[in-house]
This record gives sequence, structure tokens and C-alpha cells, in this order.
Amino acid sequence: MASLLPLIQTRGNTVNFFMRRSGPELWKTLTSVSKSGQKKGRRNTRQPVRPLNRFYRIGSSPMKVEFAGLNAPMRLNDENLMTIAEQTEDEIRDSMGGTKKILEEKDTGKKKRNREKLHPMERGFSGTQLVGQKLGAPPPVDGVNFDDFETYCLEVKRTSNMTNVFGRVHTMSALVVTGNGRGLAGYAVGKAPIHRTTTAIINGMGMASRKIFHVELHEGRTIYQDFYAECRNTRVFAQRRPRGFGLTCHPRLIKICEAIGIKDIYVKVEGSTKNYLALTHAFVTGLLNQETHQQLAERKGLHVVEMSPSRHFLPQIVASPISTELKTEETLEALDRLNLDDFYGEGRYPLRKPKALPFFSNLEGHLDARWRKHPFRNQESTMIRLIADNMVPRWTRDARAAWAEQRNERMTTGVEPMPLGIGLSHVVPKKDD
Amino acid sequence: MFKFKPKISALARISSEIRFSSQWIKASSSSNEDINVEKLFVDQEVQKLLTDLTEIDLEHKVFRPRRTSIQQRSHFALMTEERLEKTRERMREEARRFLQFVPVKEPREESVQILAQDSELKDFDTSKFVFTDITFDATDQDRTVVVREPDGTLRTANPEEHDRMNRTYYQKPNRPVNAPALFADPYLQNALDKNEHEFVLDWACWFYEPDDPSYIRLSQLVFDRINESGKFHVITSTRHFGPFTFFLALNDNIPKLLNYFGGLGRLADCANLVRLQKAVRPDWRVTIAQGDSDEKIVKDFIKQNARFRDHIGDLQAFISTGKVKSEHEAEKHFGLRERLGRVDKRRVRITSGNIRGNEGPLGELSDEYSVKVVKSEGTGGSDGAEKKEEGRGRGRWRSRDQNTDDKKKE
Repeated sequence: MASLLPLIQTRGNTVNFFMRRSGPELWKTLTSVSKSGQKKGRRNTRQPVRPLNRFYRIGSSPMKVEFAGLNAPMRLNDENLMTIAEQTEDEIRDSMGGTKKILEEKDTGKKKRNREKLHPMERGFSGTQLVGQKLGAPPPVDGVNFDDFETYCLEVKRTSNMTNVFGRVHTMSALVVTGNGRGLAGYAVGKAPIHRTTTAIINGMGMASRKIFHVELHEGRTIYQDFYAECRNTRVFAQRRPRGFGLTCHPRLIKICEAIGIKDIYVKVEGSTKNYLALTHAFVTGLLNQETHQQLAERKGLHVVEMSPSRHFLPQIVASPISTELKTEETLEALDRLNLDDFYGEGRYPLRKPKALPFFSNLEGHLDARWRKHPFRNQESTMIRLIADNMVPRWTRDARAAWAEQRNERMTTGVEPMPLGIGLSHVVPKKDD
Repeated sequence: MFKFKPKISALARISSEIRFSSQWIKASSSSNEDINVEKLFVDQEVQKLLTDLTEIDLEHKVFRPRRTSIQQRSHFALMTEERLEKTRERMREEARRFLQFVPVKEPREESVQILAQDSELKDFDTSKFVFTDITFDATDQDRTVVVREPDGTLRTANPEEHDRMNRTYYQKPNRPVNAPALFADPYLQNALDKNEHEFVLDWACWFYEPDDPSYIRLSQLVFDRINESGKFHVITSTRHFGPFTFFLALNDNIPKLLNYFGGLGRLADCANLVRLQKAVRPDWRVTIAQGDSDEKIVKDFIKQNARFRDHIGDLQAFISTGKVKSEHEAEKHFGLRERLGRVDKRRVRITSGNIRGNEGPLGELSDEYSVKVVKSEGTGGSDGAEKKEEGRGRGRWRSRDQNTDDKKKE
């Protein structure tokens, strides 16, 4: 071991701030937050302690130097305080590439996670966010399990509260709806400390599974009657729809309907459409205030009769009163003669706006293009007719040319008459030269 | 134009009256004398018998659930018993309109009338000239269409040319140039195997005129196949049942249909069918007296037509034992009746009659427990209904109200 003693520079007289303080003390000057600072919320923005010795450790260079007492044991009576340890070729190479390897392994600032690709039907409202995705069944509560339930998170937002100790305190709040698709559903708001989105959603799931309500569904697919419901500035107009119509409503309401098991509905939301809690509350209130046909028959003392368009409006009794006396034509009041669709909805109707024409509908170029297409307006129906009648096997140029060729042959051989007459040009035979 | 229009129609009328054999009577059937089928079909007595035979089944046939072109939700209404009965009567009236028979017509005349022979116009062109009357009041049936042949002959158009001109000037969406492939085998047989007889015949009505030879051929084909396969239920309660029965009676081919009615225990219909046969074929050997009962008519028919004995087993069984075909079969397969007897719980409407029974919401548990009916909050007074007090959230409030009432009384 060769001594490196002559190479050491000693500057014993230099005493400054950095030499007088230890490392942790120095870091504290940067990272500490005072009590008053904590009150003002500076704790959240404090500087972290940077691991400066991560890439440079004392003595770790291509030439491995051992400093006695620093990175090597100190021995008494040892003259050489600094020695160079002997290394093999491989060890030198490893120590050279070590830093590089660490840097390669570390991700470069951006968060690059290999997420599983979700099926388009399973994706949420936006990007890879959890909001709007199917989250599965909530955990069992007191031995009641929710195996056939499906949960949707409708909204995750950051709410804040002002306290006199900590100032503005932020909380994550998640609106969660869960349901079994057969009328049972529940919704709740779950909360968690800031940045704990998943915790908030899980809390919400737990709460929602404790607040289950039951909605009566007409034919197991739609609502019993058109209703109007409101909460805060959100107004909801829901309408019963025929089988196979589907869910035509606000995206959040689609998820709620899926959870409850409504299959056909049209809902118009007026007022605030972004206050999802109010929206959920209004819609669910409307659903719960519904009246089944049996209840209606009971209340009115009349038969409830369905007239289906698929049966050419043949009247069919759906419900008749059980405990109430059936009214006769003489005892009928004016209110009983009201159209059933006007019964509910509190006399309110959604605003119907005609669809606005696109900006280009009256531009000159567009009108010109429409006029140019005008001669070909019947071409598609002709195509469908010819294919349906098996005249042309396929609507390709080759198939059509073959068909024309075949017809030409039939006419020249006299199998099919030549279309001649008014409006058709005469066939002039070619002169033989 | 004004001069020869009446002339043409007069000529056409004469030609339709002089007709020797009908397209609706098959060559194989016994009679060979001339019958005016069109006139016979619209005869009042025949129409009455046919209407009686066409039973109106609103629920399962006339107004059965069909697919509609526009999506529309069902309407709901509150009705009293009288109102409901009135609406049902209106629907029955509507059904009678729906079941108006497709007219039985002879095919159109193929022959043409030569109106003029102008030999000086010979070779005026290489093509025929067709002149069509497209005035406002001309209908597709009586429109004047005449053709000038290249040899100078002026004649009325034949039915095919007439149709083509109609199509040229007054196109109809339901009448494209080529007939649908469904009207010919094997597609026709496929449809009939799926019991789509009514669909085929309805489409044929939609596509053809009733006096079109193709329509007559197609409808007779379908009628024959129904009679062969014995699937009479597919055509009952439709507008084609009248022509079908008429066609069978005209061709002396009723035993299978008689057997069908007998199997259902409809003796009056059997008798009506025999009466129809007699009305269509007055020379028929079976005699029907004025005051004969239904049963006597049918028994006389069976007695006098021993050759049909193989075909009318169900009818004979009904007359001798008084049991209809389904009962016989239920006896054979014992389990079937049980299966049919089981009622679908969701379909049954709950009324005050069955709420306490097995068909009510409690099902088989109702044997064990007694069912009590409780009114909900909004319905008001409690006349006649039993009230269940326990287990209700509002009970406390109600009792408090009662207490205050009591205090006031004091």
C-alpha cells in the first residue's frame, strides 16, 4: 500500500460556517418549518433533505482509497492514514459503471407505470382515472355480503376546510354509488386525507353499502311514470321509455341507472349539471317518490289499463284496486279523468330546444356540393334494390361490368328485347371499313 | 279520348261476364258446371257464414304483440269498468274492420281489344308507342292505356303493360319491379314451416292486386299447404280465413277443417261449415232442412259422407264422448296438464279475489299465514279493509293524534 500523505492539502486555519456545523444541522436550516410557519401551512411546501452522498461515497473512485477512521477501520500505530486498496479488473469496472447503472434504473422524473390496458367498455369517464370505472362489490358488512353488487365512483374532488390551527385543510371526497341491478342501490360520500383518492373511494363504498334503498321498476327495466325532481339548482325530468330504448341521460345518471337496473330511460337535466351529489340526490328522490300501478289503482279506485302500441292499443288491465271500492262512471270526479301523463311532474316540462343547424349549412360551397350530389340521390336505394333482387351479386365495378356484359349478350342474341323508343337513343351500327 | 273511354270499359265489362271456368275451382273437383265465384263470394248468406266462422281472437291473434316500425311507449289510463267495456267494444269494432276479407276475384283478362287497324301507319317506327291516361281522376284500375303497334294496330294494353305504365307514372314503394323471392319455393316452404302463413299472405296482398293471376296462384298454393298440413290455427282470426274456407268449400274439401273445429269442440262452426258448403254447392247431396239443429246437421253430414271417416276422427270423438282433442291428449300425457296448469306468478294480476290465495303475492306461504291487506298512507279512509298496526313507523304519531282528539272531546 502506497502512502498518499504528501498529496493531502491541509487548511487547518479555515474555519467557516459550514465547517463549524454538522451535516444534519446544515440541512435543518433548509428544511425546518417554524411553528408559525406550520400554522400558515408551509409544512406542505418544505424542502426535502437531498441525498447528496448517493452518488459520491467517500473513497469510491476507480482508485479505491481507504481512509482510516472514515471508510476503513482505524488502527493504532498505523502511519498510513490513507491507503489505496488493491482491486481486480472486474471490481474496477463495476465501480466505474455503478453510478451509471443506478441512473439507468431510476425513472427520469416522469411517472411511467405499465398499466393494464382496459377494455373500452370498462374505461371510466376520462383517461386512466378511477372515476366511472366498475369497482366491484363492496366488502361484506356484519355477515351480509354484497356479491352481486357493482360499484361506480361518480366523482372524486378535493374539498377544503378552514381551521384556526392548521389553516386550510384539504380532504379528498368521493361520491360512490353501488347497486345490484335489480332495484337495490345505495350512494354515499367517502372522505380521506389529501391525495388518498383510493382510500376515499373505499370509504365511500363502505358507506354506500350501509345506505341501501329499493326502487320499484316497471317490467324490471324502466320507471313507472315520468317524474320531476330537484335538489339545490339541479332539476331532473325523467321519462319512461319503451323496451330497447336504452339509457339516454347524463353520464353520471347512466352509471346510477346501471347500478339500480334501469334499462330504458330518458332524463333531461336542467340547471346545474356539474353538481353530481345534487344530481344523484334529485334523481334518487324522484325514483323513490314513484307510485306503482297497484298503489295508483288503490289510491284512485280505478283500473290501471295498459295500451301497448305493439298490440294496437288493446286495453289490458295492469292493476285493479284490492281494498278500495271500484268507482263507477257516475262517481268519477273531474280529476280522475285527467290524462295519466299529466298526473305527475308538477306541471313542469323540460325545455325542448330544436337542434341548431351547423354553421356551414348555409355556406355557398356546402349548398353547391349538395346540388352536385342531387342527381345521385336515388343511387343507394337502387343499389340496395338490385342487390336484393339478385341482379348484381356484389356492388363492385367488376360485378357490375360482368352484369352489363351479360345483358348486352342477351340483347344481341335476341333473348331480351332491346329497350327502344321515346327518350332512348337509337343504336347506330358501326360501318365496316 | 272522351269518345273511346266508355267504349273500352264497356268492352271489358262484357268480357268479364262471359267466363267459362273459374280459376278458383280445381279441375280435380267433382263439379264441372259454371259458377260465378266472384258473385257467390259477395253473396250475403255466404258472407255471413264466413264471418261467423272467422272467430275474432283479440288477445292472441288480431292484436297480438307485433313489431312496429316506430318505437313508442305504451300508454296508461285509469278506467272504470264501463269505460273499459266501451273501449273493448271499440277494439272489437276495429278488429272487425281489420278482418275484412281479401276479395276473391278471377284473374284479369289477358285478351286485348283492337280499337283500330290503320295500315297506312305501318312501319312508322321500329317501336310500339304506349299512350297512358294520367289525368287526375283516373285510378290505377280504370286508367286507359292503349298501344300502337308498329304494324299500325291500335289496341288496349294487356295487364302486364297496364301495370308497367302504372308503375312508371305512379310508383309505389310496396311494388318494386321484381316479386320477392319469398313468393317462390324454397323460401316459401321455409316460411310456411315457421308458421308464417299470415305474413306471406299479407305481403302478397301488399304486393299484388287481388285479381292478379300471380296472387291467385300464390294464395291457392298457401291454402293447399295449410289444408295438407292441417295447420288451421295459423290462419284463424285473420282476413285470409274467409277466402280460405270459401276455397275449401268450393272445391268440396272441408273434412279436415271440420275435424279441426270438432277437435276444439266448436259444433256450431262445424254446422256453419256444412251450411256454407251447401250454399256454395246447391247441388250437393247432403240435405239441410230449415229447422235442423247444429248437432243434427253435423251428424247427417257424418252419416252421409262415410268416405271421410278417416279424416274426421276428432269430430266423431267429440260427438260421441263430448271431450275435445286437448282433453284426450292430456289424458294420454298425464304430466302435460300439470305443466300447463302451473301459472306464471309474474303474469297473474293481483285482485281482491286472489290476494289471499296461492296466486297472490305470498304464494304457497298463504296456506300457513293469513294475508292482511293494509292501505298505504295516501289512500285515506279504512272502509272494509283490515289494518295492521304493529311494526309501522308512524304508529306513535297516530296514537298521539288520537290522544289529542280524546282530550278535545273531554
